[in-house]
Amino acid sequence: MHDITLPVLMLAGLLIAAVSALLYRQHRRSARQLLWATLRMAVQLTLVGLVLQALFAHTALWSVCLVGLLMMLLAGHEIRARQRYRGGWRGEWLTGLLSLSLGSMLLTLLTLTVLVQPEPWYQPRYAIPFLGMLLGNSMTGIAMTLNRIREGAFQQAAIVETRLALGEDARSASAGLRADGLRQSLIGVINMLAAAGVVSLPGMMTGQLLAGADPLTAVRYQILILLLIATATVIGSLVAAELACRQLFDNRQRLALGTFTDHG
Amino acid sequence: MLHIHSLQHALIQARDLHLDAGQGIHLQGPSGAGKSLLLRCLADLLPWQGEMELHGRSVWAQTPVQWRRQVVYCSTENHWWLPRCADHFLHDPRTDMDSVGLDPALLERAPAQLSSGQRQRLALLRALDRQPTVLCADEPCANLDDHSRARVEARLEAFVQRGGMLILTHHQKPSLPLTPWRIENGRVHHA
Repeated sequence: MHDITLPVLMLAGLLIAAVSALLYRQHRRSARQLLWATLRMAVQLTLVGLVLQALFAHTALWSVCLVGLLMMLLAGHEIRARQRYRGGWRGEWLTGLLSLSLGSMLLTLLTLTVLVQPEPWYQPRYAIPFLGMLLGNSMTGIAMTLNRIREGAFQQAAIVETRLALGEDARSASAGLRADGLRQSLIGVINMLAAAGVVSLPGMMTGQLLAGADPLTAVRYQILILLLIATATVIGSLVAAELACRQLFDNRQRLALGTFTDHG
Repeated sequence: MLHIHSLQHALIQARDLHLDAGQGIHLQGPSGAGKSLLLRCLADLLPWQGEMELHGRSVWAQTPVQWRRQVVYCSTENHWWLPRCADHFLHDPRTDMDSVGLDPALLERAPAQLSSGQRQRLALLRALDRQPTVLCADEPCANLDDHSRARVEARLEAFVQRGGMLILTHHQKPSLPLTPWRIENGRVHHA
């Protein structure tokens, strides 16, 4: 594979610096944010590279689990941070982690032990990228589902209460919110599947091609990962929608939006 | 019989109030006194503490859905979520439409196509469609002209005469015979 040297990266960095300078005249804050985000990205990816290098050198189940757990916790934090309306931190973490673990974690385990079967099954070269791709994508879907349901609950509180007052249970009264949240989340998944290979070459496949892999092998991996991403996102969104709708009501099935704080 | 042994909310309190089958209550009090709050507590739509019984069965011995199917709250502001008005009913309401002066053809329309007065009367029919034991009707005649108000009051009277229990808030003195309850300083009592 053609190696990317440090001067090449610095040259690419100069491009960002140049557009930031252009942006600076229009909107100073955005220019500063762009530079800061670029710096963060470079540092984060370098650290990840070092961690992966160490993991690949010493294959051990505990270290893979530890990195996996850390990734889950960070994804859970990201989900919470993207919510306009947030409940208590315990419920928020539980919702995020349960949605992520039932989707991404279980599917990663299934992929490693049944579909791909590397030797050993927790081989970090496979386990970490698979988990990362599933977590990254389902995290977005879960965050969108939660956000849409909660925003919908605040906007349509009067409708939900009318339905409760007319004798519907909480599940039925919030059915519209649940469907709306899932629809929002699935738009991204469906677009990703429909556009793959036509509008864009997915990142993983591009990476493999650049690394010199056979295109059909790269395509097979990409199809597998897209199917897994879609499944993990749907599972995660379904779990998130269920938990989010339950959190809207108290134990007497009354709308309990007072437990949420607005971070909009 | 609805028996409110005690009802405690942060803003209102009620103690030892009875409502018999075929009896109607006119809940009185100045604006902001907590009339709607009381009605929503009675329907168990807001958190409250205490004890209520309907026909000898405690509210706490029933699921909230069981309770709300008997004690139905009809809000001043009506809300709709399905495409046609008719979709919001469990039973065919056509025969009942005339009782409140509405044309049955309106049922085929979208709720947004009705006037606010028509929607208000339809919302009352929707609450009655659930065949409640207790109907908590919050200003069902607000914004109605005299003719429509008389039709709505007659419909409510028919509900009471058939053994229904009615708790009504009404900014004017209603023409139907009702027992007055009054909210003063957060306390509900017989007027």
